[in-house]
Amino acid sequence: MAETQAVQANPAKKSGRLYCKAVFTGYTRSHRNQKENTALLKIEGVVSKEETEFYLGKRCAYVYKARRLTACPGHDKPSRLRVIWGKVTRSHGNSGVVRAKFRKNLPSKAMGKRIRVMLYPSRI
Amino acid sequence: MRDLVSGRPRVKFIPNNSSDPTFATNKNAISGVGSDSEYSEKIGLFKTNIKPKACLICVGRTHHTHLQSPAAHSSCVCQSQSDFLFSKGFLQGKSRNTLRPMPTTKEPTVVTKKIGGDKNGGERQVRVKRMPRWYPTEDKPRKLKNHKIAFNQHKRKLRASITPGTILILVAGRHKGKRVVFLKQLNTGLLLVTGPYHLNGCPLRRINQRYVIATKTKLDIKDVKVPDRVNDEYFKRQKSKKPKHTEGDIFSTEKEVYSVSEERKEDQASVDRQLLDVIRKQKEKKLFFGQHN
Repeated sequence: MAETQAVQANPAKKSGRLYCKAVFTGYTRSHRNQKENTALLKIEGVVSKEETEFYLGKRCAYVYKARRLTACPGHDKPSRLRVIWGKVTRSHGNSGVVRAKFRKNLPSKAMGKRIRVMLYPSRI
Repeated sequence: MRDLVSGRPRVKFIPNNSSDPTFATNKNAISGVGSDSEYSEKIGLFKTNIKPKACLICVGRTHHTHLQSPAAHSSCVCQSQSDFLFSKGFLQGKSRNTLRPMPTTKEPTVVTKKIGGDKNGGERQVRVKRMPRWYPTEDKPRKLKNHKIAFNQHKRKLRASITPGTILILVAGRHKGKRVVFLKQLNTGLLLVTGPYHLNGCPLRRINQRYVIATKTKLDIKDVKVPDRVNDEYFKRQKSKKPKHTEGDIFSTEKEVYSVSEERKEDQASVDRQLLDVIRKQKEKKLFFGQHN
């Protein structure tokens, strides 16, 4: 950094994972009926109700690949990646599971798959 | 005719320069101040035996509560016409208790009319002007406060953890993952932030508080001066001027590539220079300079 203004700005490294890993465990349900409008997420490392407080309100995303290419905002090339966005609404039970509502209900094949819980809207 | 709100008699307005000799302005009607109350001395408009107390008109209201004094009442929204006149000193009589209406020549309000028929007195007193059939519940309906505020008059909040000089972690957007220095909050509420550019490629930029994690690391940027022209207008997206449709060229798409203006480069350099000086003085400057992202 002792160099003068002639130095190029340091090449930006790609950022690391800026989301928390979570798993879609299922929909809210009673024994024999389920309500698909609310999903249950198990966030990695969160094991009690007190710990879920940080995640409330955070945006979450179910990212998946499809066969057909679709246009992507901000990119020229269309891509196969698709997202369903949602947000963490409240905690569920005592063991750190969390409820989330997505813009479109999650497809059932997402069960057991990765959901990204982003760090925004940030409150810290 | 009574004031329908307060029940007090409606009093005719008398101008201050009335020729009536019995009339005295309120200012001349100070009858002995000398009381122990500092308040009445200050105003000088109270009789000594009237202690200032909470305005009864305003009891139960959340706004405009004040003590009962002519000075306060003159700006009170709740006062009736007689209160207003009394407080301005336009009423006859020095105390509100001795209000009396102005002597005027009255037109006859009641007229005697003959009626026919037997044994009914033959006459009736009939009003010249009939009483209205309908009275509104409030003479002057109080307008509800309009709570719509324009965006540029909104209250801007800033999290307590974010103060000028704080290192922030950007959590979304083009520069996600980068640690940047917070300079100040702009008028729209967005945060003005800089990399500095040489350290991590993030220029002078606006971001929303919600996409930012504030760390506990703070730099002392009291002496860092951000150029005044760096404000919301500066960062506003420039609308490209649509060219007039030439013949046969309606679908010509000339995408204007964004190029950094000289203004921005200047401001970036000036702010960064100051910031880098601050950073060099830090104990942990190696950490700052070592970061690659």
